[in-house]
Amino acid sequence: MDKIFVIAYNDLRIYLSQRGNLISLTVIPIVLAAVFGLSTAPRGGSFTIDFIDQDNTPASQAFVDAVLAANDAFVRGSEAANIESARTRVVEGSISAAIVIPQGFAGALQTFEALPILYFSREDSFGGPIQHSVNTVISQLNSSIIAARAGELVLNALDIEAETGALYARAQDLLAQDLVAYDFRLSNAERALQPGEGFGQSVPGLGAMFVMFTVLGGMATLLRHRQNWTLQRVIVMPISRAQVLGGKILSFFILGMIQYLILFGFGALMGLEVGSRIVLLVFVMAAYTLCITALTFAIASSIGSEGQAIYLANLLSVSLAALGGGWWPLEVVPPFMQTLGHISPVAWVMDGFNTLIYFNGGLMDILPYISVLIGSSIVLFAIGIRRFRIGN
Amino acid sequence: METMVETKGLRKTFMRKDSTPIHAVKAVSFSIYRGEIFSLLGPNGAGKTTTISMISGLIEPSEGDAFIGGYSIRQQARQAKQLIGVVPQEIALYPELTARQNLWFFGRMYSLRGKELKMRMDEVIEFMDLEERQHDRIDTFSGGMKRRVNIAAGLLNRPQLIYMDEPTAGVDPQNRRRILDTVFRLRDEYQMTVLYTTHLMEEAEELSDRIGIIDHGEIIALGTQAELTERIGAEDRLVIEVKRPSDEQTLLDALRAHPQASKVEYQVDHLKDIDRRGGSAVTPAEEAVLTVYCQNGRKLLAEVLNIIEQQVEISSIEVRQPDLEAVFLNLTGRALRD
Ligand SMILES: Nc1ncnc2c1ncn2[C@@H]1O[C@H](COP(=O)(O)OP(=O)(O)OP(=O)(O)O)[C@@H](O)[C@H]1O
Ligand SMILES: [Mg+2]
Repeated sequence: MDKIFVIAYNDLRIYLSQRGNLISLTVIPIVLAAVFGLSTAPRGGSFTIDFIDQDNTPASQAFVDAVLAANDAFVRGSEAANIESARTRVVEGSISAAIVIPQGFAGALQTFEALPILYFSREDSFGGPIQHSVNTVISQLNSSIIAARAGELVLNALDIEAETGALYARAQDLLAQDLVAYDFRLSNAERALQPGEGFGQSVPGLGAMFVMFTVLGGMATLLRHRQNWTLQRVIVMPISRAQVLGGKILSFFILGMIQYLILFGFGALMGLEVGSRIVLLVFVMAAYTLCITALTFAIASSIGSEGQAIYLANLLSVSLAALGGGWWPLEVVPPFMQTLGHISPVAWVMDGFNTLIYFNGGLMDILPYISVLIGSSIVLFAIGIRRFRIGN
Repeated sequence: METMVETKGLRKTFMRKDSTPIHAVKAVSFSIYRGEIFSLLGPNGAGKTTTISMISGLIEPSEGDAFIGGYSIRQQARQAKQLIGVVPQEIALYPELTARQNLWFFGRMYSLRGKELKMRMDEVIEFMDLEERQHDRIDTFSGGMKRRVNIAAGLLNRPQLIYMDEPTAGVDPQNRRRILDTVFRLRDEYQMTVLYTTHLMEEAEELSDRIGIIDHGEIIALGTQAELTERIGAEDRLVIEVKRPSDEQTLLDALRAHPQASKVEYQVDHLKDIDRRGGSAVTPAEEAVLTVYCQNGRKLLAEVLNIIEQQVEISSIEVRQPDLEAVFLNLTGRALRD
């Protein structure tokens, strides 16, 4: 164990002894983050939702109001003519979601019939804030219905005449009071207007790119240490291959985390609020950095020269960052590009960061993204560590 | 004699990209005794480094095994590695770090720490005469200095056995001398066993207690220098540089008539001639070299002088005993330097 730390320490010492490395670790990322951060429009502003209310009763209007009230950032869109045009508007990205309340909604509530509510959105399969809010309102409705139904049965059994509608209304009132505020909320309107807000995209986004630059650049270091035989010299000492690779992995991981901390430190100075979620934020960073470290090893095992390594590191960093929403939020690109973008680890780490920074998400909300990153790390490490040659 | 290293049928076959094999080392078996300097002498690509890599645990043999102080390098690698110090053919150092920082790191890899580590570092720095430059970065060093640090790093663990893979490559004569002296000191003062590889006959001759000649992945001869030359029955040579005589044939006939001269060679030194005249041989060469092969060169020397003295002017004369070059030539039909 001790030797793993010594190897990591030694590699970091070598890395930091080169002035060029220090500049690419600090100055360049900070300058870029500043430029992007000050020039991107603040986001987290609003989600436009179209409602097609085919029922048009007080009950259906109450449902619409409940959904809109679930989140400060939801805005009601202009009324779409029909379902098809609403769907098109969603696909084009001109609105975030469309919800169709079918005719007979109010009646179904009275008679406790099942009734589908159509829902279109551009959120991914894990759902986004709109879907969460709609689910919340629906489950609240369902609870009210069940409560009212249960109440009615009791009253009937006692042979007391009761009006079902009043029961239902009362149940809903009660439930609304108890309803736990859904924690998946957009940031408050006033925060979105703060000057530091642009850094919420630029710091994590460019962070993801520069972590790749730094860590993937480690491929070249690995090859260099094999070329100058220092790697071979270590392996003929009484130390296992696992320890040597462990040391190298640790050094890349630490370097990646340093890169992130530099950028987030700068972001914090510029007014980016990470608040109480700092532990979760570090958790997301760590999962991503681990994934990139694993990618580094997976690729290094099949690369011939240092020049190739540097070229590939730069190419991958720039393209994966662009693809995965490191430069601009993925919401601004067409849906199929959003899906495609998720082949990039950057997309997953950005989902994680956005969930924390803009949507005040908790551990459970970021867990899917972290799982994807850690899962890929395991696969990539398995490939890289098995294939990386030191002697043979 | 106690055996320090024993290799048994070591074989290494690399695969090219097109799946054709490279037989780098073919079933090599030899022993190195404790306290001796053993040289592997062979031309470029003979398989010296591959052999060392296998017996230091760097690469897995395709077949066979090696035992270091009785420990199998395949089964008991950790114990075997504790006994070995390795000086790779490459300068295996971090150029961005100072000599001392390099030594510190490699010392830690041997589980040395604290006072003990500091003491060992001071020890090897002093031994390799690196005190003055120990705090300078390796990339500011000359080739010879780098080689010395490279050796120092292999000595940190006070190994019983040290592998030195062409440790004088690319080094000026002064540093080469120093390194060769170091090798003797390791054996004589520290009782280390040394495995030394080189493609230079002179180094192997000067240093070695025993020599293995390796070519195309096979040990083609092994023994002391005397044993090797005796085995091929090589003769002494009298090498005489002369001014070219007017009547060459008479001179040669007289020499060839001597019963103890088994062979006489005569070579006009055109090269020297061209050299002296600045590139173009406009006049005939004036110098020649006579080589007389015989069993005992010293004894024949006086008689040969007697024969030729009257006929030619002698520039120099030398008795050469059979050397490894001759052995290699005899065994392979090629010169070692080719
Ligand atoms: N990793 C490898 N992959 C493929 N072929 C190799 C590899 N290492 C060595 N060889 C080949 O094996 C043969 C022996 O090489 P080796 O380096 O052992 O020779 P050497 O005697 O040390 O030569 P030199 O004096 O040049 O150092 C050579 O033909 C070399 O090209
Ligand atoms: Mg070699």
